[in-house]
Amino acid sequence: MRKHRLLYLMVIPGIVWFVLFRAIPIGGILIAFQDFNIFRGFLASEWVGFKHFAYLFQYQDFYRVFYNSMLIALQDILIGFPAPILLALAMNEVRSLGHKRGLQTVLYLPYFFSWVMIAALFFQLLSLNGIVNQIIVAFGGERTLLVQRSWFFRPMIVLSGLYRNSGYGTIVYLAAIAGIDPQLYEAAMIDGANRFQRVVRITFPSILPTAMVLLLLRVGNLMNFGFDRIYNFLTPLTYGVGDVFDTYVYRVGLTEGQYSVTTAIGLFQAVVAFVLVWMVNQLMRKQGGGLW
Amino acid sequence: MSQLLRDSRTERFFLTLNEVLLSLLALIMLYPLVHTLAVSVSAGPAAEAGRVYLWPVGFQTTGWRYVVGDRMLHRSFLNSVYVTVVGVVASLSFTALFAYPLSRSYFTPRKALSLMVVASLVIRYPLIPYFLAIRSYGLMNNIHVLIVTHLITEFNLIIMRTFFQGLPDELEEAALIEGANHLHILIRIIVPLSKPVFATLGLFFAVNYWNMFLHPLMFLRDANLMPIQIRLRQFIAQSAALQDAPGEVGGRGTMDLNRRTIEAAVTIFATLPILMLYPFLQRHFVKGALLGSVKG
Repeated sequence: MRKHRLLYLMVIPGIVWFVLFRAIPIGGILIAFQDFNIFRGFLASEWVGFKHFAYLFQYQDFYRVFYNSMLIALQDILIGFPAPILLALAMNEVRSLGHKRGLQTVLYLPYFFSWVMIAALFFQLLSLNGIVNQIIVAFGGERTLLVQRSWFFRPMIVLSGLYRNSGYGTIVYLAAIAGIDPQLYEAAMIDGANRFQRVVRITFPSILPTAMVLLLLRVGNLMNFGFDRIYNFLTPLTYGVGDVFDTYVYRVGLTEGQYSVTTAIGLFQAVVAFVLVWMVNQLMRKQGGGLW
Repeated sequence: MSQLLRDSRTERFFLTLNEVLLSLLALIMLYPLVHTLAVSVSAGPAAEAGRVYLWPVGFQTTGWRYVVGDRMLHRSFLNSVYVTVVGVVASLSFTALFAYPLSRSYFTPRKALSLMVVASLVIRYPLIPYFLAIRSYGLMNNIHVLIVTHLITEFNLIIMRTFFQGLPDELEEAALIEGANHLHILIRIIVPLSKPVFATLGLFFAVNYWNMFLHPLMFLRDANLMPIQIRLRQFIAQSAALQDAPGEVGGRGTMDLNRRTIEAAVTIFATLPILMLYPFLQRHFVKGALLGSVKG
């Protein structure tokens, strides 16, 4: 149709963008099968098959980084996923509208901070003379630079995630709660259910479907933990426990120039991520609403 | 009935306890920010010794005078302002231009293109090939690389397309009959009707641009081009004894007694636009968080 020809022109910039910034980088995965040489370029570099993968799977670092990535992501889900649900249930019971608004304003704010900013705030609190150390000393403990302690790294990541995301995460649940039919509560009250019983028997089951969808999405995103979040808390002293795929690939690949091996890691990561998303989508389809 | 609706005494006790606990939580969440603000206007030695909590001790403006005097800091702040302002306009225009054809049911390649978008959402591009590709385009050390790479985010594109799909067709049909072309329709009819979604997505694009960290770290080398987050990182990296941040922070010895107050002032300075705009934006991001939860 001639009158719709302009529509075809309108999508051209977008298609070019997707080719340049998505398709070509994905195609670039092929350098995992090369000894990529920056001076020869992609076309002239030597093809070496699965050499880098064979190397990778024998390599101690790979398992360490894999283990760290999984453990941190799972701990983050375990603590970070239920937190906004509990918070939303608690906030829903706040009677004064003004108080509720005030709480929301404060709790949503950290979501808009960069991870650099959040790390800056945490470092202030965790410094040698910071409030956390003062509390430790007050309870008879020893002053220590927590940022550099291996055992504290994962809790610090989980805590910073709680600080940034748990307030904002309540928005979806509060909306789901607002959509509950008030008649349900009235009926329950007539039947003599107290407030606590109403929360457990009505509010909680009503937001459960939303929670399930969000949980599945999080599991699907397990491999995409985010570079900024780890990198800004990482020190050379905590590489052992804190190095995840993204930070490792950045450091070894970009700053040390080992392009092919780190692309092999990237491919591994992408495959695992894809399988996870695919499984999640199959599960969600069974519930009647897949992503695609 | 009214007797029935009243809470029992234990219930009222728990409700009050709930509100007290939530308020306490809010205070804990607010503490890091207020504390950093207090440190930024305190005397250096007091801050260093950890004697500052929620209120400045020995009021001094050393930290903020440093912020006022550091030209490189202003430079990176302006870089971030530039990237954010230009970036938001460019991203919204680019996204709208692509989302509009995708939202028209009679546009035949619609399905294939939507599939491409979902595929790109699901298949993750590895960092190294991404870096090499962009370098081969000659975008290294060019501040616009931060914008070009973020013209589209799949998620925002899907949200905008879904919103466009929900608009009534009648206006568009009438305009087509009167001889308007699709670009006119997009600019004159669709965009004015979509102000809420533009506001919400614009906010998310803006926050994303302002907080951008990995992209400048990868693609920019010149200290003059660095956005504010990289600069802030250089300041805090020193205090945490991290030596891996690129570039150097000039003019301050580590023994400087005002180190902590300067850091605090820079931290607040780097977040100032977000803190200042936040009160006006709450309505939009609440809407945005809900948009994001609707599947595309």
